[in-house]
Amino acid sequence: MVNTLLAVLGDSAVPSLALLHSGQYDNLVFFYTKENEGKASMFSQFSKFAFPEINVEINEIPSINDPASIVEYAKKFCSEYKNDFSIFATAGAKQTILPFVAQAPKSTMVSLLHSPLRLIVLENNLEKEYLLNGIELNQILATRGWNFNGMLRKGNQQFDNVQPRFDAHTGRLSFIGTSWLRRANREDEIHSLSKKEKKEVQNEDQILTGELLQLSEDFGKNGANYSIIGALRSPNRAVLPPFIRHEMPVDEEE
Amino acid sequence: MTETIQTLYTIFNRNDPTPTANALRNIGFENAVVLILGQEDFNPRHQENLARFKTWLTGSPRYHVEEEEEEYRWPDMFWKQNWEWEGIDSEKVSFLTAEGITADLVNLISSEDTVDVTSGTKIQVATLIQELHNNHCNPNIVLQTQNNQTLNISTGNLIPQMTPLNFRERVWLSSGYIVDYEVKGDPKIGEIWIGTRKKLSNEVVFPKQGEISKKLGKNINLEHGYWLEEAVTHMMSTWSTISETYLGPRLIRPSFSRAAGAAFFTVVAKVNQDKRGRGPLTEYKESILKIDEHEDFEEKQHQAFEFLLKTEFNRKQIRFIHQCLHSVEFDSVAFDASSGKVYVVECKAMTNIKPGVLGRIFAITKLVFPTTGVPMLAYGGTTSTTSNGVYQIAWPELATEEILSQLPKTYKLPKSTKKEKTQKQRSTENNQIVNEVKKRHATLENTRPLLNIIRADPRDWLQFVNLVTRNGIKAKGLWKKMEKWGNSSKLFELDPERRGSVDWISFRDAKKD
Repeated sequence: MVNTLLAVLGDSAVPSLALLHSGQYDNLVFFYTKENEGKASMFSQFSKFAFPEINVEINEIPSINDPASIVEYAKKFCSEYKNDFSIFATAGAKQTILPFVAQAPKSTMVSLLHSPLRLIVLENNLEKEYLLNGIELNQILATRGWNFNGMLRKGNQQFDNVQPRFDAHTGRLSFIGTSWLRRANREDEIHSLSKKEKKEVQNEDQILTGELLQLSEDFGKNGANYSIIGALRSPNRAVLPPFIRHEMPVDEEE
Repeated sequence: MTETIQTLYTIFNRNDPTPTANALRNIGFENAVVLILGQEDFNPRHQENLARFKTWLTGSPRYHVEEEEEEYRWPDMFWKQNWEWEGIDSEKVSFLTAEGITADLVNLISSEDTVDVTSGTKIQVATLIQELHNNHCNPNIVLQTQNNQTLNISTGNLIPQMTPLNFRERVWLSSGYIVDYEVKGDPKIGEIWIGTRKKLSNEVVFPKQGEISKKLGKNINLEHGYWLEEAVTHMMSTWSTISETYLGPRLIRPSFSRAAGAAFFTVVAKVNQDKRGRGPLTEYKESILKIDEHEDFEEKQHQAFEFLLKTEFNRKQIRFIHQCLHSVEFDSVAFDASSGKVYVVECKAMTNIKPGVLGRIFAITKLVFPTTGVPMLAYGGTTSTTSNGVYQIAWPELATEEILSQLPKTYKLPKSTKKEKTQKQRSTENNQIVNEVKKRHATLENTRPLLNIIRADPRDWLQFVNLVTRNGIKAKGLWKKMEKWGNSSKLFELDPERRGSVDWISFRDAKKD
């Protein structure tokens, strides 16, 4: 019997990649809305290249702004597949994945948990866990068209001051920016900068914040941890969105 | 009309209470039960979100912050009634805390009820749906869509909004600021801005000053950037999907003592700037500057607070202080009711935009609207594109919402605005321009601006071809032509194997802009 899993390609990169790594399914059926067309296209290219042995089907479903049509699509799909599939409940907006759950409430539910990164399969009130190994940072980045070779790049775009990290044990992806004052080793001078320097620092740190925000568009604001390390002047610190953390590391004394 | 249902169950959304509030507003109910799942794991931000949600139910953020002293609460003099909204009958709403979706909780629900699953984790909600199914219980299972309708996820039935959350409520729920604004966008005024002829001056697009002033019946001063904020607010209000636009909304902290601190800081700056002594607070200049001289920050803050609280200001002075209370100010915002998006617009009547400015716009947008905010810059240049994740739009293009699906695009000043033409010619000029440009063959010269665009904002070959044709350039044989141009100019190299990705072109001097 073919073992099929339905999943939605959402904003976060790790969940869909984790499914490719899980080795639990013969057939992975992904859905995406046209709003996520770009991400789906890159994921499709990546999966063909990196996992040619896995049968991956990628289908477009109606727009997120046409939710009634998504329900119709789910009804038709579930009827064609005779509800013979599991559903991955971790990725995608609720209005894209829940119509499938509502149509096939007896399906096996699959979810992804971190620390450690593992797949949870809930079938007949029985929970099975599968630890996930082998996911690498550059694979995650590649699913969104990025790569890291000492510097984060996507096409002609490159971010010099943001470091990506992936903790394979916890399954957490992080992007860490370093503030201008920290890079210049001038954090002690935060209150004594000249007017010209203040402007330059402000501009540079605004660029850094903008880079983290661009990454959050590609990897989802909940799909990674975003932080800036080092002293930030108040106008920039005050406007940091809630999902970008500001950290002042305590440097070890020599 | 939406029927009133027996009991509405909804899960509190700890990351942003807006969807939970939307459910209470959109679904008629006799009783509502808000499920708070896993509260023991709430972090301080989740707790604050819950407190803010409870305040939202009351309809007023006035008493949200429990100040140490009662006198630190918002005084009547500075509180505006229109900062409030219609509350929810508190007797109809109860809270139920649980670790997760338990059997006891599922047993509470009957087939006559409605369960809103907009909030909660997907696995919690999926488990709830399965458990209800196992119990042979068939309530209406609904969720609030991104465009604020109520969707029955089993049948696909959509119920339109009952009483949508307004902009003020949305800001409160997602970020905890009070919104103050004075001017709402007016589509009629927007049409005037759209229909007014434009001119280029030092490469910046301006409206014709005499014409716009005459049409609006007031002097529009192009020396100050404020005209652009006004133009953008009214122009975007003409979009079919936009339900509300506001000019220069100011976001104020809910604590009066904190807002007063921000106000005094701004008041001092304005009093110092007012060399002629004609400002509304001139009579208090001496006392203000004396307070500002205090070196002890806490003492200064206390004195400033006492000054604002105990002085009998006239209406003009109160209005002036209202304009100083905010912590964040936007040039313009537009709320798209069809998608739930909030466009946060910064206006710059100039062409030279630093990347830092774009980063700042992005940050303040996501500060206030982490999920639904869309950063936008309306500026005086002619190229509309997405740059550093921000929509960067030549302001006349805001005449229509279609601009956002046509990016990147170059604004062409209609010829009739350079030389006087008849009304008929003016009305057809856009079509003429499109026809004229459609005839153009691709040359390195006319393609180079588009290459600059994709250099800053990479896209694959097909997307580039779309861009070229949208800009009135023939794409036939373009690849071969570009190979030749690349070889002769040494500006770039093409890789035919990578047409499906953004790496099909590499610019030879592209280290870093």
